[in-house]
Parts: sequence; C-alpha cells; structure tokens
Amino acid sequence: MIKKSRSLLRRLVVTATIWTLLALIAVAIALTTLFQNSVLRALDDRLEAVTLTIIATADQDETGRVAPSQPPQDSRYDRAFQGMYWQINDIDNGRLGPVLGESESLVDEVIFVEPQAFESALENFGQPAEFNVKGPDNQLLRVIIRGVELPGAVGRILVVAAEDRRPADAEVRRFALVSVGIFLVFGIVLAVGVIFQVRIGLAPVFAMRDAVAEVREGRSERVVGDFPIELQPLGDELNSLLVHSREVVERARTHVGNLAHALKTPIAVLLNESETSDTELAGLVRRQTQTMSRQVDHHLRRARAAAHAKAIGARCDVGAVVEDMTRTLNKIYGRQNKVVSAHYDSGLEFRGERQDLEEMVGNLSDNACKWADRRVLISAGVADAGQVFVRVDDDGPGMDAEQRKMALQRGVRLDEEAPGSGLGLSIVVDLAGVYGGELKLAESDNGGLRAELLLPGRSR
Amino acid sequence: MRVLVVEDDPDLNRQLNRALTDAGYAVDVAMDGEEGHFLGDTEPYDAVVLDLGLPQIDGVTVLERWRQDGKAFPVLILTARDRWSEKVAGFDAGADDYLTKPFHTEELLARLRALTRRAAGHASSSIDCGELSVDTRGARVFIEGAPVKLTSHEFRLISYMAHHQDRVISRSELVEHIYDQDFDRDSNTIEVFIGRLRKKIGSERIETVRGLGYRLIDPNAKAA
Repeated sequence: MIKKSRSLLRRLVVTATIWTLLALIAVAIALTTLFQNSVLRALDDRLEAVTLTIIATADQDETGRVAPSQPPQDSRYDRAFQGMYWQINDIDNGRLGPVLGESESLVDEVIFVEPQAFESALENFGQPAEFNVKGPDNQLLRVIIRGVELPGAVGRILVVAAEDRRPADAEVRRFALVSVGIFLVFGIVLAVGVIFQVRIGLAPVFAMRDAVAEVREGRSERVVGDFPIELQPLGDELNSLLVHSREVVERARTHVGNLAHALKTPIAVLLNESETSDTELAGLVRRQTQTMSRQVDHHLRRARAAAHAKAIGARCDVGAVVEDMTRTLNKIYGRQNKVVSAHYDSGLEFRGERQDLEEMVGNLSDNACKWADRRVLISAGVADAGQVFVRVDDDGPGMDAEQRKMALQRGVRLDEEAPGSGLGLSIVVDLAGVYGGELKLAESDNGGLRAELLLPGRSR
Repeated sequence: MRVLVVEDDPDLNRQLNRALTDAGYAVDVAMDGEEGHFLGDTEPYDAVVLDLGLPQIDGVTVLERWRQDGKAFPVLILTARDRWSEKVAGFDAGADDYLTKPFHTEELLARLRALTRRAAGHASSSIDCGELSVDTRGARVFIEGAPVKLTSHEFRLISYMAHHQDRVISRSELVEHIYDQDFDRDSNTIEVFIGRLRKKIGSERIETVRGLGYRLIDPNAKAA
C-alpha cells in the first residue's frame, strides 16, 4: 500500500498522513449520516404530528368528502404546490380506495401511496409508516401515512401527510460541505504536526548521521553526540569499530615493519657475502637475492598501502610533515651545499595517514634534492574542490614532456645514476591513487622539475 | 681511525667488521644496544655504524643518550627501517647519515669516509699535507704522487694524523684511535710506529712536540 521509500522521514510522514486522512474521512461520513438521520427524524416527527392533527378533527361532510374541521395551521397547505400537503384516502376491504379529501396545495394532484408502505400501515394499524415519492412540481416528498377507523359510516381511512424534503437534503449537503472543509483544515494541521513530530523524533538519527559524516570526512576521530538510549549502543558500537579499525591497521603496519626488518638483514648479509666471491654460486646467490630484495620491497609497500586505505577518519597536519622533511633533507643534503626551503599555509590538513603523506612528500623531495643544483622549494596550500596541494620545485635539469609522461608510468625507471628514485616515484603514484589524489609533473619556475601532489584535505 | 659497529645480526656484524678492517679502520663490535651504548660512552670513536632494531636498548634511544652525554662522533644509521618517519626520527635523534638495508659495502664505506672527513673538517676524499697525500678512499698514501707501502696500523696512524694535522696529538689519543679495544695497548708501540713511519715518509714530516705528542707537518711550508 505504501510505496517503498528509502527515506525514513518520508515513510513515517506518508504513513501517518494516510491514517489520519482515513480516520478523518470516516468521522466526516459518520457525522454527516448522523446529521442526516436527525434532520429526517425531525421531518418525520412533524409529519406524524400533522397526521394526528388531521385525525383528531376529521369528519365527513354532506358531499361525502372527508376533511379535518381544523386543518393544520400553515399557509403552505392553502396555496398551490408549496411543498406541504395532506390527503385522505378511503380504505376499502384492505385496499387503497379513492381520495376522500386533500389540502388546497395539492390542487388536482394526488400523492401516490407506495403499496409496500400501505401494507405496513395496514399491518400496524394506527401506527405511522413512511416513504419517499415524487411529488408535484418535481418535488421529492417525504410521506407519513397512518390508518385510522373513524366512527360512523366513514370507517377505515388512510391519512397521508407529505412535505418536500429537498430543503432538508440541502441542509444536509451544506452540513457535509462545511464538515469536509473543517476536516480538511484539521487534516492539514495534523499532517504538518506529524512532519514536525517525526523531524523532532528523528533528530537524533540525523545528528548521528552528521557525526558519522564528521568521522568520514576526518574532522572527528569518533562519533560524538548526546544520543537517546535507543541510539547510544549504536554510537558506542561505531566507536569501538573505529578503534578496532585503527588497531588492525596499526597491527598490520607493525607486522609489515617486523617482516621488513626480519627479511632485509638476511638479504643484506647474502648480498654482501656473494659480492666478495666470483664463483658461479656467488653470482647465482647475488642475482636471486637481488630479485628477492625487489620483491620484498614491492610487496611490503603494497601491503602498507592496502592497510592504510582501510583506516577511516585519519588526518594529519601537512605543515608538520613538510617541516620534518625540510629539516631532515637539509641534514642529508646540506653537505652537498643544497638548500631545502619550505613555504606553506598553516592549518592545512591531509585526510589520511601521516606516514603515507611522509612517504609521498619524502620521496618527491628526496628526488628533487638528488637532481637539484642548489635549491629545492617545498610548498603547500589549498587547492580547489576539497583538496590540498604539496608542490616540490627544484632547479635541476628537469624533464621534457615525454620523460614526464614516462616517469608517471608505474615501475619505469628513468634515472640509472641516482638509484631508487624510480621506485620512489611509483610509490608516490600508488599512494596518491589510494587516497583518490594524483601526482602531476610540470616545468618549475626555477628551471627544474615541479612535482605537484593533489590530495584530499582542507584548511582548518 | 676507530669505528664502532652496533649490529645484532652475527653474520652481518662479522661482514661489517671484516669490510671495515680491510678498509683500514680499527673496529669494535657490539651485539646489542646496551653494550653498544657502553662502548660509545667510554671509548673515543671516530665514527659509529648503528643498527636501529637492537636487543636491550633501541638504536634511536642509544643515539639520543650519546648525544645527551655530549658525544659528538658521527653516527651512520644502518637499518631495515626505510620509512621517512623513521629517517626523520633517526636524524632528529642526532644521526649524521642513514643507510637502509640491503646496502652495498662500497656505499657504506664511502659514506663512512665522508662522515669522518667532514667531522675533521675536510671536504675531499684525499687529504694533503704538502707533498704527502692520504687517499682515504683507497687507504693509500702518496708522496709526490708515488705510493708508499704501509701496514694497516701505520696507515691508521698517518690517516688519523692527516685528519687532525692542524693540532698536536698526544700519544694516548693515538692509542685510542688506532687500536680496537681488544688490542694489547702499550703506548711504547706508538713510538715504534712513528719511527717506522718516519723512515717511510721522511722524518721531517712528523714533528715531536716534547711532553705533548706528535704533529704532521709540511716541511716546505715551515721552511718558507
């Protein structure tokens, strides 16, 4: 019956409105029916009284006509087709006889007596029976008949009192119209009330939705809010899930680090030992160990990247990372008379793991330092559309468009002289991809290469 | 030149010891952080090769303690930890260089040479004193371009004096910097080495400062 809606608010409002509407319609129908019955009852009472008035003074005159000596007091009985009538029929051996008398208002018309009502009047002789019938001038008549036995020669007669019921029906229609109007207004007020009620009732749910969004967007580490007792367990569960998720990531990272340490020392030993000998076995060991070393590097980095992508709600200060890298690289490259400087907006926030940002910025800046002649500039700021940029400029030889394109393809090593930086760049591309960011290479204003990272983040 | 190697893997420790000894260094080794810290605290090293993942005390902690105690010797961190956060932590703790495993022995030796040279204030791999030239890279000594044949102890002695040729070096300082800790130290052997060196490179190149020690000099510069 209710269209499947994905909005809880809509479901509640639509359901409540439909039930309210049905209830109001039922009440309107019941009230109108009651009113109609009461109006009709009043009409019948009046007509019954008329029959009694007629019976009280009915008598036969010399022409054989039967009429009350004191007819009901209403001018409408005296003028033609005014909507109020009486009529007296003869009852002849249980059959409806000729008209013995009638009000002036009937003129030459006769009120048709419904046979079924007549039977009923005969059966309960002296009691009123009612029916509806078409009257003169297209009127719809409400009719009360009552049988009575007059003393003398007249015997049994049927007294018929009728009145046009259209004014009464019109009154009922007016009542129905007014009540529908009132209930409509009432219904609208209720519906608005329902919307307010549902909104107020669901407010904690919306608050929780916003709190979860805060976590998702990295503005909060946990779901915070004053939730009602029905929702508090959900909030607590979410929080423990967040804590668990961070623990899992942390454990994975620790395992990966331990594995790296455990594998790299033996690899170093094998490589060093095999390099001291020229035998065939030494060559084999050297080649295989180098392959092992590359595989270990590759898979450890992929495992780290995969572990990081699952951590939700992580964020870190871009400025602090840029400062760390600048300080460290100045220590490493200061002896080569290369100077790394930093320029960044304060309060920049990267939506992700700090270690990943460090890897990206570290590798890019390290590359820049390797190739730079004198100066490397690391800058960071807000890019558009919810992103921050970290830009690394050097004054080295730079790259032409073709080289830049090649450099961004995974696993391609351009530089044979400066070992490791080819791998470094592909790690940056991988990590940026994990966060839905990107790495762009361009020509720097300083003549060298400009590497620009675009990452999800904002300014606090 | 005397170096300390702190590395917990016995095979790598042995390899480093051999490679550094072959390169002309006096080498002490430690297998864990506690022993490494103690040696660095008590012996005057010219350089330290330090692993980070060590038993007992972590490498970074060892390094921080040395720096807090005012130890200024250059430290090269040799570790499997290749993350930038770990490099930053290493440098912030006071490291002078950082090499990740696996590594080439030549790379380690080159960086160590650069560290000891820089610590003594020399820029190039060859340290000159007049006609005398000490090639720290090849562990060789030349006079007017002609190589001089020296034993490893003789080379250590001349190399240390060349690194610090601007000052007088006491006998005990020489002992501390050319022998590893297991060597039977007798300062008289220094006189024997000085005597042999003078024979090989010319006695006028090593000046004896009475009561203080020795100094490597350029005889031509003195004459001028």
